[in-house]
Amino acid sequence: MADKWNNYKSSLRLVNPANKKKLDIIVVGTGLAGASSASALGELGYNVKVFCFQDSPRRAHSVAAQGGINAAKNYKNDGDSVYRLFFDMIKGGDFRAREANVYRAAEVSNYVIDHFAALGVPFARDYGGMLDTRSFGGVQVSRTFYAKGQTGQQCLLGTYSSLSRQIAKGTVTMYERRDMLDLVVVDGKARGIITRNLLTGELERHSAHAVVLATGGYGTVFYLSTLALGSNASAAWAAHKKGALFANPSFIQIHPTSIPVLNDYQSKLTLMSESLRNDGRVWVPKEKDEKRHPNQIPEAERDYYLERRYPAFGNLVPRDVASRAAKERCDAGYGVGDTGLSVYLDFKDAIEKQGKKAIEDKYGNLFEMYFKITGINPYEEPMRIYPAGHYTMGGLWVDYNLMTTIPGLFSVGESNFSDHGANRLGASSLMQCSGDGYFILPYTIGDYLADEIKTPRVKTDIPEFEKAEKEANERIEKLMSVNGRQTVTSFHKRLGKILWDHCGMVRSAEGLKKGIQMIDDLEDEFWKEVKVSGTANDYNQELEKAFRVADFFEVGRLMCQDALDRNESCGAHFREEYQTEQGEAKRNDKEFAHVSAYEYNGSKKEEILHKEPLVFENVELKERSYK
Amino acid sequence: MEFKLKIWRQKNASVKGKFETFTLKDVSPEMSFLQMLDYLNQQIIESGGDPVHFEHDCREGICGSCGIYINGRPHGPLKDTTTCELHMREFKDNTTIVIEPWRSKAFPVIKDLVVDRSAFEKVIRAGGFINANTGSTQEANNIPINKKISDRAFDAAVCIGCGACVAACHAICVGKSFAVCTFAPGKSGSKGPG
Repeated sequence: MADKWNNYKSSLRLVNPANKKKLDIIVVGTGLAGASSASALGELGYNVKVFCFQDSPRRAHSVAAQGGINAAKNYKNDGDSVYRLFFDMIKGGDFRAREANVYRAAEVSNYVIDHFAALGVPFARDYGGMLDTRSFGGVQVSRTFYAKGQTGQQCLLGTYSSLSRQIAKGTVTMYERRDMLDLVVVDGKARGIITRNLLTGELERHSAHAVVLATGGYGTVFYLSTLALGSNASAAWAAHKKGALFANPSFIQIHPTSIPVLNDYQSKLTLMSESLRNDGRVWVPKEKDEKRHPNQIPEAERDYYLERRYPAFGNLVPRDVASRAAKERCDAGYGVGDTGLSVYLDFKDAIEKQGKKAIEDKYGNLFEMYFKITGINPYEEPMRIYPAGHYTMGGLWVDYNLMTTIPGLFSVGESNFSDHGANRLGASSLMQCSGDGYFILPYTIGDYLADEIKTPRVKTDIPEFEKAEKEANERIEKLMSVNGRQTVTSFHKRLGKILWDHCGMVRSAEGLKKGIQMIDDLEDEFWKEVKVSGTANDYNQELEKAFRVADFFEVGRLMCQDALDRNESCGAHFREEYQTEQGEAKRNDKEFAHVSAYEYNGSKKEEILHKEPLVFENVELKERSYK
Repeated sequence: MEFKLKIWRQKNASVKGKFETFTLKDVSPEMSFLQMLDYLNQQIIESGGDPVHFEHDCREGICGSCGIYINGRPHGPLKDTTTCELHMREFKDNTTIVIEPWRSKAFPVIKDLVVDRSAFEKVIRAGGFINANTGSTQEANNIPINKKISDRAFDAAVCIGCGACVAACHAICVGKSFAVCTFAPGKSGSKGPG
């Protein structure tokens, strides 16, 4: 396994520099995965067109990643290695990811850090001038590189500048303010996309020899999540409807430390980085209905439930474990706050031991963010936190080349399903996105394009483009013509609630069946009652939302179908019927050690399940324990 | 809480804009400024009108999408606080709030409160990058960088690119050269998030 990627790379076919100039590649999305792909492919000499819905590529939601980026550098001399990073990810993902892909992600992680350092990303350093690291959940080594609580921003800006360099050079053409509405497939191969210019409403056709989707996850399906409000599933879903299989849709990470829901108007949940659990201690009162201020509750009357349940990892258990433990305490009646749906994250001990300055250096911006939103000063009293929808491990199925089941359509970063199994470990998202874009795709896409050098530039006046554009137009007209009375957002909120209740942290067969029924009903209501204001050929933010929410009904239904089919608990997927006596996830490796990849089968129809068996040759499958 | 909202409405770049006044009742002090605008838009849509367009995305102060002139100040009354992080508890009940797009020739209005900030892209593309090709770099720790220098680099790099500096700055309006002031979470020395 250790040599696999190196050997494989040497066997991949190449495209010579003169031919690269004749090949067009479309990249959709400019987060860490998209911008790194576009800039690396531009550097190679391909003709790249890159798209984003924001006004600038720098705004993609990678910008909000806080805590850090992992790499197996072993700078701390604490026993880290590529193998150990690989092992932690496989175990953290509860043995539901492909070994070879995960090993490769761990392997290229070191190049990613080298590259970012060269791009000028100001990672934290120690007084000797060397790069510093910190620990993160689910591991016992310190391998997370960071830039205060703004690591994603700093990595994205580094990548954005390398993208800007290629744009200036003319190898990459940037299209901002575009939504991808459809994928164009010609003779079975991905050949282009239909986009909507969000300012004019105009539909546009763009062709290429290959298409790369770097469109992120679908966590906004919950309405309230830690994602940006514009994040959506529509590009990936368009590809899915055109034949790309969608893998493990029910594997969604609920992040344990978000600022809790405070009111009905809330439009988003703000994450408080997992890195806070390095120094913060999670607790609830030992007594139910405790009314005292947290600072007045004496030590002996506090239940540090993570430290109690998981002595080996304590507050640093993986996210899925920490989230469920919080839910368990709150459901049992020990939750705090007005709603009883939150727990304390307390820095008192850390401030006493290390001093306020040290804590401020590490987490200053997070504390400030918390204060701005809640009006509570976390230096003085504990934060209140609760789990929130965060990251989707599921996504477009890809092979070892990161190619989907549609030849010529690739998927990188969070939009694919590749590396995190049933649960992602902290700080491995930035790592995977940039590894995919900088160090994997540039090799594997060449192998596909080597066969395309004789294909002339793809024309856009062919029937396949006509048809795709016509269908996109019809969908827009259909949305505009409903002319009902309820806002798009009100539907999105209701859908989110259904999924949170029935396909969230804890699931059951009964609940999932009910959820599917409710989604079907709500979708019917949407197509009868939704009100999309404005017109189609104009800047229309309501129409953008409507288009995305219309797809979320289908995404949500598939999540439920997958969760219902997977009769086991693993990682973030917790079926209440399948748990150990201690309430931990109980896997069923005999029947479910596979990737579930779904084929679209028409509106409101059950999708067709394909199974990719997972073979473990380098790790032993066992119960994941953090005790 | 109840507010009179005086909001700049402009259909597109080629027509003249004007203020439109709304009265918004039942505003909760816990709402963020953008949630207040969501709430207003919901009412506008339900009554058949055209909602106020404004830009936003992450709603946690880091993406730099949102940017509104509030009572004559970019992002409103609080220091180092983006529009999306601003909450209605910062405003006095029963007052008028004036809501405008960034005011700057460099940022033409696209619609209502949305402006075109692509001038920033031009600045970056003119050379705001490091020439390091993928694959050509050395081991990250080969060149130690003094912590002080590295920290200062971080402070300079936390700019969120929202454009508040341009909106607030007179120099750029008249085409003079200007020093970029970063509006940025994490800017050291400021009261903002350290």
